[in-house]
Amino acid sequence: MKSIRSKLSAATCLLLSSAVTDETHAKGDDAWDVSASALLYVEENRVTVNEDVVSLSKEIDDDEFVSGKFIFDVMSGPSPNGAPKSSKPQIMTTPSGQQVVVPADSLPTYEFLDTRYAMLWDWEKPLSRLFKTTNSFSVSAEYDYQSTGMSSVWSYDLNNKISTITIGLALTYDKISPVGGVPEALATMGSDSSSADKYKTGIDWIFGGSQIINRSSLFQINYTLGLSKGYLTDPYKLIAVVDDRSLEPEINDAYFHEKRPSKRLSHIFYLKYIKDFSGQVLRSSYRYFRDDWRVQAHTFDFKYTFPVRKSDELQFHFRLYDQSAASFYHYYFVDRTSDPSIDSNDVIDENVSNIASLDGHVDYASADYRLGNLRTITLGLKYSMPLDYYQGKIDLRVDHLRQIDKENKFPQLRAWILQAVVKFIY
Amino acid sequence: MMRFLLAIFIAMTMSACGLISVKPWERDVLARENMQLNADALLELMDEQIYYSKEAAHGGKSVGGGGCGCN
Repeated sequence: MKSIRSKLSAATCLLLSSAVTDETHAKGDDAWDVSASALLYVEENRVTVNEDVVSLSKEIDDDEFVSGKFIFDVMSGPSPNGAPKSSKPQIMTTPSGQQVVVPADSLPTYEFLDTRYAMLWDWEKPLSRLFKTTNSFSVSAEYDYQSTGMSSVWSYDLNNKISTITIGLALTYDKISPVGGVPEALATMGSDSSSADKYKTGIDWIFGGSQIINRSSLFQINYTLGLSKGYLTDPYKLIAVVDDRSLEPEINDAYFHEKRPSKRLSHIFYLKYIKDFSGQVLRSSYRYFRDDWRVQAHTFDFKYTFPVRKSDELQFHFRLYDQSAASFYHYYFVDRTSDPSIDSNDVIDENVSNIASLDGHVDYASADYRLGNLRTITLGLKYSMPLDYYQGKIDLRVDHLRQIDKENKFPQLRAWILQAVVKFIY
Repeated sequence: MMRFLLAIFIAMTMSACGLISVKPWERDVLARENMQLNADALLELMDEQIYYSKEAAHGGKSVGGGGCGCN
Protein backbone atom coordinates (compact mmCIF):
# COMPACT_ATOMS: atom_id res chain seq x y z
CA MET A 1 0.00 0.00 0.00
CA LYS A 2 2.81 2.30 0.94
CA SER A 3 4.60 1.45 -2.31
CA ILE A 4 1.51 2.29 -4.41
CA ARG A 5 1.07 5.54 -2.56
CA SER A 6 4.68 6.54 -3.03
CA LYS A 7 4.53 5.71 -6.75
CA LEU A 8 1.30 7.66 -7.10
CA SER A 9 2.90 10.58 -5.29
CA ALA A 10 5.93 10.48 -7.54
CA ALA A 11 3.77 10.37 -10.67
CA THR A 12 1.57 13.22 -9.46
CA CYS A 13 4.59 15.20 -8.50
CA LEU A 14 6.01 14.77 -11.97
CA LEU A 15 2.73 15.82 -13.56
CA LEU A 16 2.33 18.86 -11.38
CA SER A 17 5.96 19.78 -10.94
CA SER A 18 5.39 23.02 -12.82
CA ALA A 19 2.47 24.04 -10.62
CA VAL A 20 3.89 27.50 -10.09
CA THR A 21 5.74 28.48 -13.21
CA ASP A 22 6.29 31.70 -15.00
CA GLU A 23 4.81 30.50 -18.23
CA THR A 24 2.79 27.67 -19.65
CA HIS A 25 4.41 25.49 -22.28
CA ALA A 26 3.45 22.76 -24.70
CA LYS A 27 4.75 19.41 -23.54
CA GLY A 28 5.53 16.54 -25.84
CA ASP A 29 7.68 15.42 -28.73
CA ASP A 30 7.96 17.92 -31.56
CA ALA A 31 5.03 19.98 -30.25
CA TRP A 32 5.25 23.70 -30.87
CA ASP A 33 3.34 26.07 -28.62
CA VAL A 34 2.23 28.80 -31.00
CA SER A 35 0.64 32.15 -30.11
CA ALA A 36 -0.24 34.97 -32.45
CA SER A 37 -1.51 38.36 -31.37
CA ALA A 38 -2.89 41.37 -33.22
CA LEU A 39 -3.31 44.57 -31.24
CA LEU A 40 -4.75 47.93 -32.14
CA TYR A 41 -4.12 50.84 -29.77
CA VAL A 42 -6.07 53.97 -30.66
CA GLU A 43 -5.88 57.29 -28.84
CA GLU A 44 -8.63 59.80 -29.51
CA ASN A 45 -7.13 62.46 -31.82
CA ARG A 46 -3.58 61.25 -31.21
CA VAL A 47 -1.44 58.18 -31.68
CA THR A 48 -2.47 54.89 -33.30
CA VAL A 49 -0.37 51.74 -32.90
CA ASN A 50 -0.82 48.46 -34.71
CA GLU A 51 1.23 45.70 -33.11
CA ASP A 52 1.47 42.10 -34.31
CA VAL A 53 3.31 39.34 -32.46
CA VAL A 54 4.04 35.71 -33.20
CA SER A 55 5.40 33.57 -30.38
CA LEU A 56 6.83 30.06 -30.75
CA SER A 57 7.89 27.79 -27.92
CA LYS A 58 9.18 24.23 -27.92
CA GLU A 59 10.42 21.71 -25.40
CA ILE A 60 13.84 20.57 -26.63
CA ASP A 61 14.68 18.33 -23.69
CA ASP A 62 13.08 17.34 -20.40
CA ASP A 63 11.73 20.61 -18.99
CA GLU A 64 14.07 22.56 -21.25
CA PHE A 65 12.34 25.08 -23.50
CA VAL A 66 13.29 27.56 -26.15
CA SER A 67 10.95 30.29 -27.30
CA GLY A 68 11.02 33.21 -29.66
CA LYS A 69 8.78 36.23 -30.07
CA PHE A 70 8.68 38.25 -33.26
CA ILE A 71 7.08 41.68 -33.02
CA PHE A 72 6.15 44.21 -35.67
CA ASP A 73 4.67 47.62 -34.80
CA VAL A 74 3.44 50.54 -36.86
CA MET A 75 3.07 53.76 -34.89
CA SER A 76 1.64 56.99 -36.25
CA GLY A 77 -0.15 60.17 -35.29
CA PRO A 78 0.41 63.38 -33.37
CA SER A 79 2.28 63.27 -30.07
CA PRO A 80 2.36 66.27 -27.66
CA ASN A 81 5.71 68.06 -27.88
CA GLY A 82 5.57 69.67 -24.43
CA ALA A 83 4.54 73.19 -25.43
CA PRO A 84 1.32 74.50 -23.85
CA LYS A 85 -1.88 75.59 -25.55
CA SER A 86 -2.18 79.24 -26.53
CA SER A 87 -5.05 81.50 -27.50
CA LYS A 88 -2.95 82.54 -30.50
CA PRO A 89 -1.46 80.41 -33.30
CA GLN A 90 2.03 79.14 -32.46
CA ILE A 91 4.85 78.64 -34.96
CA MET A 92 6.84 75.49 -34.20
CA THR A 93 9.93 74.02 -35.83
CA THR A 94 9.65 70.27 -36.27
CA PRO A 95 12.63 67.96 -35.57
CA SER A 96 13.22 67.70 -39.32
CA GLY A 97 13.48 71.51 -39.54
CA GLN A 98 10.11 72.40 -41.07
CA GLN A 99 7.99 75.19 -39.67
CA VAL A 100 4.37 74.45 -38.87
CA VAL A 101 1.60 76.62 -37.49
CA VAL A 102 -0.31 75.25 -34.52
CA PRO A 103 -3.85 76.67 -34.56
CA ALA A 104 -5.03 78.72 -31.59
CA ASP A 105 -6.30 76.73 -28.59
CA SER A 106 -4.71 73.53 -29.89
CA LEU A 107 -2.17 71.43 -28.04
CA PRO A 108 1.12 71.56 -30.01
CA THR A 109 2.09 68.13 -31.30
CA TYR A 110 4.61 66.56 -33.64
CA GLU A 111 3.35 64.10 -36.24
CA PHE A 112 5.34 60.91 -36.44
CA LEU A 113 5.30 57.65 -38.34
CA ASP A 114 7.58 54.82 -37.33
CA THR A 115 7.84 51.06 -37.56
CA ARG A 116 9.46 48.81 -35.02
CA TYR A 117 10.80 45.29 -35.39
CA ALA A 118 11.67 43.33 -32.28
CA MET A 119 12.74 39.80 -31.47
CA LEU A 120 12.99 38.15 -28.08
CA TRP A 121 14.50 34.74 -27.40
CA ASP A 122 14.20 32.77 -24.17
CA TRP A 123 16.02 29.62 -23.16
CA GLU A 124 14.71 27.94 -20.04
CA LYS A 125 16.90 25.14 -18.71
CA PRO A 126 16.69 23.09 -15.52
CA LEU A 127 20.08 22.67 -13.89
CA SER A 128 18.75 20.19 -11.37
CA ARG A 129 15.37 19.02 -10.14
CA LEU A 130 14.96 22.22 -8.13
CA PHE A 131 17.21 24.71 -9.88
CA LYS A 132 16.25 26.44 -13.14
CA THR A 133 17.70 29.23 -15.24
CA THR A 134 16.03 31.34 -17.93
CA ASN A 135 18.27 33.31 -20.25
CA SER A 136 16.88 35.87 -22.67
CA PHE A 137 18.14 38.01 -25.48
CA SER A 138 16.24 40.78 -27.25
CA VAL A 139 16.77 43.25 -30.06
CA SER A 140 14.50 45.93 -31.45
CA ALA A 141 14.90 48.53 -34.14
CA GLU A 142 13.00 51.67 -35.07
CA TYR A 143 14.04 54.40 -37.48
CA ASP A 144 15.56 56.45 -34.67
CA TYR A 145 16.07 53.90 -31.89
CA GLN A 146 17.83 50.57 -31.51
CA SER A 147 17.80 48.46 -28.39
CA THR A 148 19.67 45.32 -27.36
CA GLY A 149 19.06 43.48 -24.13
CA MET A 150 19.92 40.31 -22.32
CA SER A 151 18.83 38.85 -19.03
CA SER A 152 19.40 35.84 -16.84
CA VAL A 153 16.97 34.71 -14.15
CA TRP A 154 17.78 31.92 -11.70
CA SER A 155 15.12 30.25 -9.63
CA TYR A 156 15.27 27.64 -6.90
CA ASP A 157 12.36 25.60 -5.53
CA LEU A 158 12.06 24.98 -1.81
CA ASN A 159 9.73 23.09 0.53
CA ASN A 160 8.61 20.47 -1.96
CA LYS A 161 8.08 23.18 -4.58
CA ILE A 162 5.78 25.21 -2.38
CA SER A 163 8.20 28.13 -2.45
CA THR A 164 10.43 29.47 -5.20
CA ILE A 165 13.13 32.09 -4.82
CA THR A 166 14.33 34.06 -7.82
CA ILE A 167 17.28 36.26 -8.61
CA GLY A 168 17.88 37.90 -11.96
CA LEU A 169 19.93 40.42 -13.85
CA ALA A 170 19.12 42.30 -17.05
CA LEU A 171 21.30 44.55 -19.19
CA THR A 172 20.16 46.88 -21.98
CA TYR A 173 22.09 48.96 -24.45
CA ASP A 174 20.18 51.48 -26.56
CA LYS A 175 21.21 53.75 -29.40
CA ILE A 176 19.23 56.91 -30.11
CA SER A 177 19.51 58.61 -33.52
CA PRO A 178 16.90 61.40 -33.46
CA VAL A 179 15.35 62.71 -36.66
CA GLY A 180 17.08 66.01 -37.41
CA GLY A 181 19.99 65.22 -35.07
CA VAL A 182 20.44 65.49 -31.32
CA PRO A 183 19.29 68.95 -30.17
CA GLU A 184 21.42 70.86 -27.72
CA ALA A 185 19.82 70.41 -24.31
CA LEU A 186 17.99 73.52 -23.01
CA ALA A 187 18.76 75.48 -26.21
CA THR A 188 16.02 77.23 -28.15
CA MET A 189 13.87 75.25 -30.55
CA GLY A 190 15.42 75.00 -34.00
CA SER A 191 18.99 75.73 -32.85
CA ASP A 192 21.91 73.68 -34.16
CA SER A 193 21.85 69.99 -33.49
CA SER A 194 24.52 67.31 -33.47
CA SER A 195 24.51 64.41 -35.89
CA ALA A 196 26.27 62.11 -33.41
CA ASP A 197 24.22 59.26 -31.99
CA LYS A 198 23.46 59.04 -28.29
CA TYR A 199 23.47 55.98 -26.08
CA LYS A 200 21.98 54.77 -22.87
CA THR A 201 22.55 51.68 -20.77
CA GLY A 202 20.39 49.98 -18.21
CA ILE A 203 20.97 47.40 -15.55
CA ASP A 204 18.21 45.80 -13.46
CA TRP A 205 18.56 43.42 -10.56
CA ILE A 206 15.52 41.47 -9.45
CA PHE A 207 15.10 39.56 -6.22
CA GLY A 208 11.89 37.74 -5.52
CA GLY A 209 9.97 34.64 -4.89
CA SER A 210 6.62 32.95 -5.06
CA GLN A 211 4.74 30.98 -2.47
CA ILE A 212 1.79 28.59 -2.61
CA ILE A 213 -0.51 29.64 0.22
CA ASN A 214 -3.00 26.77 0.01
CA ARG A 215 -4.72 24.60 -2.60
CA SER A 216 -6.33 27.61 -4.26
CA SER A 217 -4.05 30.61 -3.85
CA LEU A 218 -0.50 31.77 -4.25
CA PHE A 219 1.45 34.99 -4.25
CA GLN A 220 4.59 36.43 -5.78
CA ILE A 221 6.81 39.17 -4.43
CA ASN A 222 9.62 40.99 -6.28
CA TYR A 223 12.01 43.80 -5.58
CA THR A 224 13.75 45.36 -8.58
CA LEU A 225 16.63 47.80 -8.46
CA GLY A 226 17.12 49.58 -11.76
CA LEU A 227 19.86 51.91 -12.93
CA SER A 228 19.78 53.74 -16.28
CA LYS A 229 22.63 55.91 -17.48
CA GLY A 230 23.34 57.95 -20.57
CA TYR A 231 21.01 59.94 -22.80
CA LEU A 232 17.68 59.80 -20.96
CA THR A 233 16.36 63.04 -22.47
CA ASP A 234 13.57 62.94 -25.05
CA PRO A 235 15.00 64.73 -28.11
CA TYR A 236 11.52 65.63 -29.40
CA LYS A 237 10.19 67.36 -26.29
CA LEU A 238 10.16 71.09 -25.63
CA ILE A 239 9.43 73.34 -22.68
CA ALA A 240 8.05 76.86 -23.08
CA VAL A 241 8.73 80.09 -21.19
CA VAL A 242 5.47 82.03 -20.95
CA ASP A 243 4.69 85.64 -20.28
CA ASP A 244 3.82 86.33 -16.63
CA ARG A 245 0.62 88.18 -17.53
CA SER A 246 -0.88 86.16 -20.35
CA LEU A 247 0.69 82.83 -19.23
CA GLU A 248 1.24 82.06 -22.90
CA PRO A 249 4.36 81.98 -25.10
CA GLU A 250 4.59 85.46 -26.62
CA ILE A 251 7.58 85.12 -28.95
CA ASN A 252 8.81 82.46 -31.38
CA ASP A 253 11.98 81.91 -29.33
CA ALA A 254 10.05 80.98 -26.19
CA TYR A 255 10.49 77.23 -26.70
CA PHE A 256 13.50 75.27 -25.45
CA HIS A 257 14.64 71.67 -25.74
CA GLU A 258 14.23 69.66 -22.57
CA LYS A 259 17.01 68.11 -20.50
CA ARG A 260 16.81 65.21 -18.05
CA PRO A 261 19.48 63.88 -15.69
CA SER A 262 21.83 61.33 -17.24
CA LYS A 263 21.24 58.86 -14.43
CA ARG A 264 18.09 57.31 -13.00
CA LEU A 265 17.99 54.92 -10.08
CA SER A 266 14.66 53.20 -9.42
CA HIS A 267 13.25 50.89 -6.77
CA ILE A 268 10.23 48.73 -7.52
CA PHE A 269 8.26 46.63 -5.09
CA TYR A 270 5.82 44.26 -6.78
CA LEU A 271 3.29 41.92 -5.23
CA LYS A 272 0.94 39.55 -7.07
CA TYR A 273 -1.84 37.48 -5.53
CA ILE A 274 -3.86 34.81 -7.35
CA LYS A 275 -6.90 33.14 -5.80
CA ASP A 276 -9.36 30.58 -7.11
CA PHE A 277 -12.97 30.74 -5.89
CA SER A 278 -14.36 27.41 -7.07
CA GLY A 279 -13.59 28.05 -10.71
CA GLN A 280 -13.63 31.84 -10.61
CA VAL A 281 -10.19 33.37 -10.44
CA LEU A 282 -8.95 36.66 -9.04
CA ARG A 283 -5.57 37.86 -10.30
CA SER A 284 -4.40 41.00 -8.55
CA SER A 285 -1.18 42.92 -8.26
CA TYR A 286 0.22 46.02 -6.61
CA ARG A 287 3.38 47.86 -7.63
CA TYR A 288 5.16 50.65 -5.81
CA PHE A 289 7.73 52.56 -7.86
CA ARG A 290 10.06 55.35 -6.83
CA ASP A 291 13.19 56.81 -8.34
CA ASP A 292 15.75 59.52 -7.75
CA TRP A 293 13.87 61.80 -10.17
CA ARG A 294 11.32 61.87 -7.30
CA VAL A 295 8.69 60.05 -9.29
CA GLN A 296 6.51 57.92 -7.06
CA ALA A 297 3.83 55.68 -8.49
CA HIS A 298 1.27 53.18 -7.24
CA THR A 299 -0.29 50.65 -9.61
CA PHE A 300 -3.19 48.35 -8.79
CA ASP A 301 -4.34 45.73 -11.24
CA PHE A 302 -7.33 43.42 -10.74
CA LYS A 303 -8.58 40.76 -13.14
CA TYR A 304 -11.55 38.61 -12.26
CA THR A 305 -12.33 35.60 -14.46
CA PHE A 306 -15.41 33.43 -14.35
CA PRO A 307 -16.63 30.61 -16.55
CA VAL A 308 -19.51 31.21 -18.94
CA ARG A 309 -21.38 28.76 -21.14
CA LYS A 310 -19.70 25.39 -21.48
CA SER A 311 -15.99 26.15 -21.42
CA ASP A 312 -15.64 29.84 -22.22
CA GLU A 313 -14.35 32.47 -19.81
CA LEU A 314 -15.12 36.14 -19.25
CA GLN A 315 -12.65 38.40 -17.48
CA PHE A 316 -13.15 41.87 -16.02
CA HIS A 317 -10.12 44.11 -15.76
CA PHE A 318 -9.55 47.19 -13.62
CA ARG A 319 -6.24 49.02 -13.40
CA LEU A 320 -5.46 52.17 -11.46
CA TYR A 321 -2.16 54.01 -11.79
CA ASP A 322 -1.25 57.12 -9.82
CA GLN A 323 1.98 59.04 -10.27
CA SER A 324 3.63 62.10 -8.73
CA ALA A 325 5.73 64.43 -10.88
CA ALA A 326 9.48 64.29 -11.43
CA SER A 327 11.38 67.03 -9.58
CA PHE A 328 12.35 68.78 -12.84
CA TYR A 329 8.88 68.62 -14.40
CA HIS A 330 7.27 72.00 -15.16
CA TYR A 331 4.22 72.60 -17.27
CA TYR A 332 6.07 75.72 -18.42
CA PHE A 333 8.39 78.36 -17.02
CA VAL A 334 7.10 81.85 -16.27
CA ASP A 335 9.14 84.88 -17.30
CA ARG A 336 8.88 86.93 -14.07
CA THR A 337 10.50 90.12 -15.38
CA SER A 338 7.35 92.20 -15.57
CA ASP A 339 5.81 90.99 -12.31
CA PRO A 340 8.51 90.24 -9.68
CA SER A 341 5.85 89.40 -7.10
CA ILE A 342 5.13 86.02 -8.68
CA ASP A 343 6.18 83.31 -6.26
CA SER A 344 6.56 79.95 -7.89
CA ASN A 345 9.07 77.20 -8.58
CA ASP A 346 8.37 77.66 -12.27
CA VAL A 347 9.93 81.12 -12.76
CA ILE A 348 12.84 82.36 -14.84
CA ASP A 349 14.24 85.75 -13.71
CA GLU A 350 15.35 86.78 -17.15
CA ASN A 351 13.44 88.19 -20.06
CA VAL A 352 12.93 85.28 -22.41
CA SER A 353 13.79 87.39 -25.45
CA ASN A 354 17.33 87.78 -24.04
CA ILE A 355 18.17 84.13 -23.57
CA ALA A 356 19.22 81.59 -26.16
CA SER A 357 19.38 78.76 -23.67
CA LEU A 358 17.94 77.84 -20.29
CA ASP A 359 21.40 76.52 -19.37
CA GLY A 360 22.57 78.47 -16.34
CA HIS A 361 18.98 79.16 -15.26
CA VAL A 362 17.96 75.56 -14.58
CA ASP A 363 19.85 72.26 -14.32
CA TYR A 364 17.14 70.09 -15.81
CA ALA A 365 13.69 70.73 -17.24
CA SER A 366 10.96 68.75 -18.94
CA ALA A 367 7.34 69.50 -19.77
CA ASP A 368 6.66 65.94 -20.92
CA TYR A 369 3.23 65.24 -19.43
CA ARG A 370 4.33 61.63 -18.76
CA LEU A 371 6.61 62.98 -16.01
CA GLY A 372 3.81 65.04 -14.48
CA ASN A 373 1.18 64.37 -11.84
CA LEU A 374 -1.06 61.95 -13.61
CA ARG A 375 -3.50 59.15 -13.09
CA THR A 376 -4.50 56.36 -15.46
CA ILE A 377 -7.69 54.36 -15.11
CA THR A 378 -8.24 51.28 -17.26
CA LEU A 379 -11.39 49.19 -17.54
CA GLY A 380 -11.55 46.14 -19.74
CA LEU A 381 -13.21 42.90 -20.75
CA LYS A 382 -11.68 39.72 -22.13
CA TYR A 383 -13.54 36.78 -23.60
CA SER A 384 -11.74 33.45 -24.00
CA MET A 385 -12.97 30.33 -25.75
CA PRO A 386 -11.35 27.04 -26.73
CA LEU A 387 -10.94 26.09 -30.37
CA ASP A 388 -11.87 22.68 -31.69
CA TYR A 389 -8.47 21.95 -33.18
CA TYR A 390 -4.87 21.71 -31.93
CA GLN A 391 -5.88 22.35 -28.30
CA GLY A 392 -6.38 25.91 -29.43
CA LYS A 393 -7.74 28.90 -27.57
CA ILE A 394 -8.70 32.39 -28.62
CA ASP A 395 -8.71 35.52 -26.43
CA LEU A 396 -10.52 38.69 -27.44
CA ARG A 397 -10.16 41.74 -25.27
CA VAL A 398 -11.06 45.37 -25.22
CA ASP A 399 -9.64 47.86 -22.72
CA HIS A 400 -10.41 51.54 -22.37
CA LEU A 401 -7.89 53.75 -20.65
CA ARG A 402 -8.27 57.30 -19.48
CA GLN A 403 -5.28 59.36 -18.44
CA ILE A 404 -5.83 62.46 -16.36
CA ASP A 405 -3.44 65.27 -15.53
CA LYS A 406 -4.16 65.79 -11.82
CA GLU A 407 -3.37 69.49 -12.25
CA ASN A 408 -5.91 69.78 -15.09
CA LYS A 409 -3.44 71.46 -17.41
CA PHE A 410 -3.15 68.83 -20.11
CA PRO A 411 -6.25 67.57 -21.87
CA GLN A 412 -7.43 64.13 -20.87
CA LEU A 413 -6.13 61.23 -22.92
CA ARG A 414 -8.58 58.51 -23.91
CA ALA A 415 -7.51 55.35 -25.68
CA TRP A 416 -8.86 51.96 -26.70
CA ILE A 417 -6.89 48.73 -26.75
CA LEU A 418 -8.30 45.97 -28.96
CA GLN A 419 -6.46 42.66 -29.03
CA ALA A 420 -6.98 39.15 -30.36
CA VAL A 421 -4.69 36.29 -29.31
CA VAL A 422 -4.80 32.79 -30.81
CA LYS A 423 -2.92 29.97 -29.09
CA PHE A 424 -2.55 26.40 -30.27
CA ILE A 425 -0.21 23.45 -30.13
CA TYR A 426 1.16 22.27 -33.44
CA MET B 1 -9.06 55.60 -3.15
CA MET B 2 -5.40 54.53 -3.34
CA ARG B 3 -5.28 53.84 0.41
CA PHE B 4 -8.54 51.92 0.25
CA LEU B 5 -7.22 49.69 -2.53
CA LEU B 6 -3.93 49.21 -0.72
CA ALA B 7 -5.79 48.18 2.44
CA ILE B 8 -7.85 45.62 0.48
CA PHE B 9 -4.73 44.26 -1.16
CA ILE B 10 -2.87 43.91 2.13
CA ALA B 11 -5.89 42.20 3.72
CA MET B 12 -6.01 39.68 0.87
CA THR B 13 -2.34 38.86 0.98
CA MET B 14 -2.37 38.59 4.77
CA SER B 15 -4.07 35.27 4.16
CA ALA B 16 -0.56 34.08 3.35
CA CYS B 17 0.07 34.10 7.09
CA GLY B 18 -2.01 30.95 7.29
CA LEU B 19 0.27 28.89 5.08
CA ILE B 20 -0.55 25.24 4.90
CA SER B 21 1.43 22.44 3.38
CA VAL B 22 0.05 21.58 -0.06
CA LYS B 23 1.04 18.12 -1.25
CA PRO B 24 1.89 17.65 -4.94
CA TRP B 25 -1.32 15.65 -5.54
CA GLU B 26 -3.35 18.51 -4.08
CA ARG B 27 -2.25 21.01 -6.73
CA ASP B 28 -4.89 20.35 -9.35
CA VAL B 29 -6.32 23.87 -9.09
CA LEU B 30 -2.87 25.45 -8.96
CA ALA B 31 -1.83 23.57 -12.11
CA ARG B 32 -4.55 25.21 -14.20
CA GLU B 33 -3.35 27.65 -16.83
CA ASN B 34 -5.24 30.61 -15.36
CA MET B 35 -3.52 30.07 -11.99
CA GLN B 36 -0.01 30.46 -13.42
CA LEU B 37 1.95 33.57 -12.51
CA ASN B 38 2.24 34.66 -16.12
CA ALA B 39 -0.85 33.10 -17.64
CA ASP B 40 -1.51 35.83 -20.21
CA ALA B 41 2.08 36.37 -21.32
CA LEU B 42 1.32 38.03 -24.65
CA LEU B 43 -1.38 40.30 -23.24
CA GLU B 44 0.91 41.39 -20.44
CA LEU B 45 3.79 41.95 -22.85
CA MET B 46 1.62 44.27 -24.92
CA ASP B 47 0.33 46.09 -21.85
CA GLU B 48 3.88 46.63 -20.59
CA GLN B 49 4.76 48.21 -23.92
CA ILE B 50 1.71 50.50 -23.93
CA TYR B 51 2.05 51.71 -20.37
CA TYR B 52 5.81 52.09 -20.72
CA SER B 53 5.14 54.70 -23.38
CA LYS B 54 2.46 56.53 -21.36
CA GLU B 55 3.70 56.53 -17.76
CA ALA B 56 6.94 57.26 -15.91
CA ALA B 57 6.97 54.02 -13.90
CA HIS B 58 7.55 50.66 -15.47
CA GLY B 59 8.84 47.16 -14.73
CA GLY B 60 8.63 45.10 -11.57
CA LYS B 61 7.07 41.89 -12.85
CA SER B 62 10.28 40.48 -14.25
CA VAL B 63 13.44 41.61 -16.02
CA GLY B 64 14.28 41.65 -19.71
CA GLY B 65 12.23 42.41 -22.81
CA GLY B 66 12.76 44.71 -25.77
CA GLY B 67 13.09 48.48 -25.48
CA CYS B 68 11.52 51.22 -27.55
CA GLY B 69 11.81 54.94 -28.24
CA CYS B 70 8.12 55.29 -27.38
CA ASN B 71 6.74 58.68 -28.35
